[in-house]
Amino acid sequence: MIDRRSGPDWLAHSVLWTGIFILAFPVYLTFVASTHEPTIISNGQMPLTPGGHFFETYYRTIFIGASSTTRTPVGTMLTNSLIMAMVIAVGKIAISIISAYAVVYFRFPFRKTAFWTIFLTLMLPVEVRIYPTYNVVATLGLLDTYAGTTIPLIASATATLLFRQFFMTIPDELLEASKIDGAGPIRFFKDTVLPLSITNIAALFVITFIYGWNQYLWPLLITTRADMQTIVIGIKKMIVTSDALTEWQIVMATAMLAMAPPVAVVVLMQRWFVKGLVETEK
Amino acid sequence: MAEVKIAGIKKSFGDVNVLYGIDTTIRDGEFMVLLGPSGCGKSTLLRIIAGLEQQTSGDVSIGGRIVNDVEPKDRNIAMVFQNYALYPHMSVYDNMAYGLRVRGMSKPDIETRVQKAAMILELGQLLQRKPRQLSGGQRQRVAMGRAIVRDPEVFLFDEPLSNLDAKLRVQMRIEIKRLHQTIKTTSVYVTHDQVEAMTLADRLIVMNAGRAEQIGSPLDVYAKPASVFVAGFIGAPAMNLLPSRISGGKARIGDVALPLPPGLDAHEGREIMWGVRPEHVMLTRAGDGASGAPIIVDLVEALGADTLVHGRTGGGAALTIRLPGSAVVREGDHMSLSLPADAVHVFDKEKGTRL
Repeated sequence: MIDRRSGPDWLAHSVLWTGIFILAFPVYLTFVASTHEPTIISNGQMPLTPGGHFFETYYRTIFIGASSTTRTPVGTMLTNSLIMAMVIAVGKIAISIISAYAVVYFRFPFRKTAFWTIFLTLMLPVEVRIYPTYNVVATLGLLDTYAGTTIPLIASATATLLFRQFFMTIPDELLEASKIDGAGPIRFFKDTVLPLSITNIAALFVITFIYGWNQYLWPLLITTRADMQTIVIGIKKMIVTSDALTEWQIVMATAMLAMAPPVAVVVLMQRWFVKGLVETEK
Repeated sequence: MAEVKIAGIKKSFGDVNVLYGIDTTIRDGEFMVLLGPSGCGKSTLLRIIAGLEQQTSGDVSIGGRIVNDVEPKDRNIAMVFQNYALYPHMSVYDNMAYGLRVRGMSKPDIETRVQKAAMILELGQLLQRKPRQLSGGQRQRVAMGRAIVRDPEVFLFDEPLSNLDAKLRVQMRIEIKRLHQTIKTTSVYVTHDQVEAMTLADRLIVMNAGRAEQIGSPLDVYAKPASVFVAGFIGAPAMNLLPSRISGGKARIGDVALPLPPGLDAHEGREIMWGVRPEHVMLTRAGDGASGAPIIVDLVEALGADTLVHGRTGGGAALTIRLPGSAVVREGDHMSLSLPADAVHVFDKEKGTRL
């Protein structure tokens, strides 16, 4: 990297620290709020130091849930979100790597058309096609199922495009060497393409896992049963606008829990993520 | 080991013709080099033999079996690519073992073969390394190892040395030659480097624009080039080729008369290309009773072992002459050409063929 400085170090550092503060302070406040009595938050006397109700609040949140509103243990919601995000992430990667493989390595009629059709779906996120997709899922009887919440979100033009671009950088000679070595299309995929794509897969996993985790509109439509709720929807439902008392400490604890898995995924896969986006093992 | 027979191979990509019909037989155990400038179709021909490219028409047979519709993996060939095409995620050992594993060979057999190839190529210390941890020459050896372990009937080399630096290229060239002498597998080797071609080949095919201009042993091709193209392509510095006309048993360029080999009486008056290699011309000081055509020295390149003299004859025709390094010649000197008539090559001017 080129070390070309224009301006003092302290300036850069103070900008960075300001950014970190802006990002981290609300998260800290959320954590603080989740460790106090509900009345303290409702009164608007928000303290800046953690209170003494950490274990009690988190125990209640995970295993019992908000008693007056959703009544679903957040543990269940977490499980639902985790299943949804995992199925979407793994499904997206599996489908798009296979379709990119087909588009790049096989000569079949309308190959270009197939690719551009996939590409066009970039313009059709679930929000745009929500009514027809809902209709299909409902007709198939998939409401309130994991299949219903995940399958319509799995197809991914972005991931297909990313894999396609990556496959096109794999030298043709590798394919030819494999052909001469006697490997057919499936072995070439399994033995060469897949191992070379591992960093791309990791990067895509991070992106698509967070995409799946943050889904709000679609699961909101598809799920009605309490035990199918995802955590992102759960938080919203815990907050009551009428005169009932919102259990803020539980809302805050749920928010903390909702943040944890995506953060964990990013932290654990950060190295691979960056590698997958900027370099390839060649 | 096997004989490779190529019969009437034509190839076109859409409207573009790349090969216009190549016929040749590569004998069992022979080292055949395909030589030509880039774009002459030599790599395409190799890829057709490998089965990576389908010919438009014509037959390829390996070991007496026509393989036109046989998949590359079933042709019993092995190929070494220009960029090595090693599997980047596999160790050297796995790179060599992969083809055997795919074919379902047993583990101990694979082990034996890989170890043997590693010994021949001195790769023993490197078996657990990844390709990116190897130098260019080592990668090239691994690529050859991958070919050897398969014990194929035919080796195909696609410009295997052109990614190496000059010194390594010379060294690897010798290793390839030695390897071929040891295992004597029929080999087809594509290159645009004439030194590689001359040193490695038992026979070579000089290709130009999709046609085989000449097929023969390196020394034959050097001594009796079949066309103007071959004459100009083989040999460095290139053969002197001058357009001229046969008149009175001499080749005439303006008022300069140059000698001709005997037996060209029937071609009196014909337009020709007159050629002589720089190393076959001698220079003597003008005026010492010299009888040859006069030449004025324009430029002298002293290379140590040789001295290259660039000069002009009276008619303005430029000649390059290669003299021993000890020759004392200076720019502006008036010299006299002396060249034996049997060192002269004569080609038809229009068709470019040897007369």
